[in-house]
Amino acid sequence: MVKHMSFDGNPPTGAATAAQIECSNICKSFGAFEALKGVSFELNRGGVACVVGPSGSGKSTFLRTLNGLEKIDSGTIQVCGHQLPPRSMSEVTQLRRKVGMVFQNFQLFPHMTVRRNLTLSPMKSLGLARDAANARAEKLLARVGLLDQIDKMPAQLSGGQQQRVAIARALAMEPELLLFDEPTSALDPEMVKEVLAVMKELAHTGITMVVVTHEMGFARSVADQVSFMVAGELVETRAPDDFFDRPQDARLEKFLSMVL
Amino acid sequence: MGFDFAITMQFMPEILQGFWLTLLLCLAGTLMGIPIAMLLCLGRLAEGPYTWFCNAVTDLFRTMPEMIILFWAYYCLPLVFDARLTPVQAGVIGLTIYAAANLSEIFRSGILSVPKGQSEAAYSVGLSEWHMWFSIVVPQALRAMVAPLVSFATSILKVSGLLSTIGVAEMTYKATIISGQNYNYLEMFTAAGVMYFVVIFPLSIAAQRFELKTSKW
Repeated sequence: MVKHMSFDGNPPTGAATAAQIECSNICKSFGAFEALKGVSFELNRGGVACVVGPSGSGKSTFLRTLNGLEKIDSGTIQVCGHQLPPRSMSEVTQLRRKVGMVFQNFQLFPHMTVRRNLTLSPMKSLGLARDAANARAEKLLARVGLLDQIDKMPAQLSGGQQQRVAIARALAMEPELLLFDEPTSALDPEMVKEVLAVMKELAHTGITMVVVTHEMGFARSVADQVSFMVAGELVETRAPDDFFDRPQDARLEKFLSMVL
Repeated sequence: MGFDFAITMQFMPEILQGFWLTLLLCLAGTLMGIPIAMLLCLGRLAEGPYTWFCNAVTDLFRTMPEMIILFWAYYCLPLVFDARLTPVQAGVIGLTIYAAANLSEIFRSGILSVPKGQSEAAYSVGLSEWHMWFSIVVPQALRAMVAPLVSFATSILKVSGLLSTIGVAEMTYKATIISGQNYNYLEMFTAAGVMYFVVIFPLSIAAQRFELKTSKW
């Protein structure tokens, strides 16, 4: 079954209108389990998309196909001007540098200071000089309110702080697109807010974001488009108000009635 | 029955000679075993046509008594390859096989102990394959390997004592020969035992220190 959903909302003012992500009919199976059954998706440059849905519906798998962490079985993906499946190894390398990712469990490098977490790849992959990489790290940490933690080890930080560092680490590569895989799901309730605040601030800077989340309030107030995924299909993609107030699909209606 | 220090000191130079050979043989076996262990580990982790072979080699030599490996190297290899090996050569081959099989398992479990999310994070921040391995995975794997590596060092030092059975003049052999000739078993085997302790004990202390130092990860 193929469903093609595209969102025709207006991109944020000032942003170019070119599509940053264009997925067409992507399929992915793990053994006999079909995780993605023909997903099509579009997102304009500078847009913020949220993907919601029940656990195990394929949201994370979908997100991970966008930077090549999961290889797709069929279909095509265009991301930041690159194509998946890739035409060459260098295409993957290019794409990885343009697409940042924030994980549910932070995945900071535990054996390195916060500073080193932020400067490693800019120095090794982009060839930035140490001073420039340090300056960039300090600026980003100041932005997420953690400049004073720069010489700590990740394990010395709270979950919320670690996730903010992880966001800063992704930003240190100056990506065009940021992927968030349930960024607040592993956090204590009181820390969810600080991470969402950072993400909200980011959303207004014109960077393109795809956020897999259970935070309906965030989706409603920040997203340009919200998608509902269930059983490996994207069944509805719409502007937040329409999505939450006038759901079309019966499964979405039921889902919303349970989570709101 | 009294412990005669004088006689212990009299034969100490010979015991020490054996002790150096013990250290050298273990070092040689380990150094030659490391590259083989790395290849075995690579073959086992990178699912491919060689995986089953590397698994088989590792399992075979990890489960076989060290004495059998050693006797096989000394008595059987020459029959198969028509080449007479000296006891030292056979001993080093035996220790190399022992080291390769055991280190391969230590390397493998060390690397597998690093969460998959770490290499995914390295991938996502754009690090090259090289840096993913040598800046992210290997340093964390090494930390997990410290305890098993010390335990390996302890084991190979003890296993090397078996080389006395094929006539390698390492420490256990010296103690056996000297005490057999002079009837001073108490002194010689005590001296040898103490020497083993003197190398192995500081190793475990150093490992503990290291684990404390890195515990704030």
